Amino acid sequence: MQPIRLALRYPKFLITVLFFILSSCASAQELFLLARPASNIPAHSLSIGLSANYITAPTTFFRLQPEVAYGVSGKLMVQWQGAFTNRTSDFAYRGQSIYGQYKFLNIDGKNKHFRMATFARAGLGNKIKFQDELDVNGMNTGWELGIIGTQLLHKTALSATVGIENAYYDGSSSATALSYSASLGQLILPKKYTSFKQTNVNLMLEAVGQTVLTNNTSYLDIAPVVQFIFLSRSRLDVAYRTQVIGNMNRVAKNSFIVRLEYNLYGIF
Amino acid sequence: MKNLITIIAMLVLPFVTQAQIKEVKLQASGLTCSMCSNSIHKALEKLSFVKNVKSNVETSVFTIDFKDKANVDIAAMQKAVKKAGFSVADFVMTVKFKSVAVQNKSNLNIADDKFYLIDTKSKILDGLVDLRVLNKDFMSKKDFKKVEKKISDAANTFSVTLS
Repeated sequence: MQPIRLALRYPKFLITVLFFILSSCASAQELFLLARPASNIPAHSLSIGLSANYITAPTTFFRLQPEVAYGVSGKLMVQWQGAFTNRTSDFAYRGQSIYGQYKFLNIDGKNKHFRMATFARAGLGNKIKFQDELDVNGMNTGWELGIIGTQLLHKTALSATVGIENAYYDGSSSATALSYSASLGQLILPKKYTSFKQTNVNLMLEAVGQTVLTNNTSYLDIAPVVQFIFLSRSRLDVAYRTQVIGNMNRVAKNSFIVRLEYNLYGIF
Repeated sequence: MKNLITIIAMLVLPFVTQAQIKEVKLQASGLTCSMCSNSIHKALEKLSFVKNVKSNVETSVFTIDFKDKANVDIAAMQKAVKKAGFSVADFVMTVKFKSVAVQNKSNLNIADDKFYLIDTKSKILDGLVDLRVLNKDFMSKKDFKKVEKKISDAANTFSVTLS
């Protein structure tokens, strides 16, 4: 019990230990659930995803996020995402966002790479304040600009993002926030590749946070993720996201996430 | 006498290079996952002159066969890998020659592409021969630095060496 009590009291300690455990595993990936890596989806390929979030605290509700992403070229990708929830009424449409990502640095080596990209998101959603957190990904009307750096080393991937977000709070006034994330991924299976038909298993640990500059509130969530890749084409992610530190008023502090993705390579 | 034949062959060489690209072994870099590997595999398969692609996910080596009488486009294969989001680290072509005399710094025309042969002794190429492409986008940065000064700077020319 002692380590658990320790971890609950000191969330940073828990994060450090989990990062250490994950990074000491034999082998990873960068197809993260909560944060995008600097790598784009392949040119002329279409990726269709559906994310189901079951929020358990502070209240329970359900959020469904369909998404479609397209690789315009090897360097540029665009994505659309919608949001549906039953938070305040029956299950209904709440908002949507469009996202663009441009990879400006690509250093490839044998089984490794370092990449950097910039991204921009524009969101349509609520214009009223229902929480301190800014979420231009289907919840608030606003925009986000940011930068991503991703390092892949054999079977381990490390990625970090920093962004600035601005969203409407009360009709005319807006709030600004800094968003940040760090993700670690590890390829667990297969130990040795023999074909595209092998199921890949990745373990990931992601830390996602935000500081709203306007009212100086923050949160930091962590999410352990188990990811399965089937037939080198479909993806299933299962995660539990939980707040470890925070003084924000938020509608989603803890949630279970299941996400499905299907990739169509080189279609247009 | 042998030298004379070589010289005569050299003179007519640029006009009648009897050679055909039979297979390409391409190694991609910047990836470890099978999903990434599959995106390259699919991109190569889409090329009109490609008949079949065999992939080794572990080593990221793609073995490419071509359709009969199709014009093999070397640059298109490299671009396909790039567009999938990755790089070419090694590119070896298996070329079928019919008694083609070559020497160091020979120029060869195969299909629609021009090649410049380096680090080679004078010899007659006959049967299946492996040629490694030494251009910037066809090898790792580290390997490219070693050959950078030796290769041709002519436009639309691929420098190659016997591998």
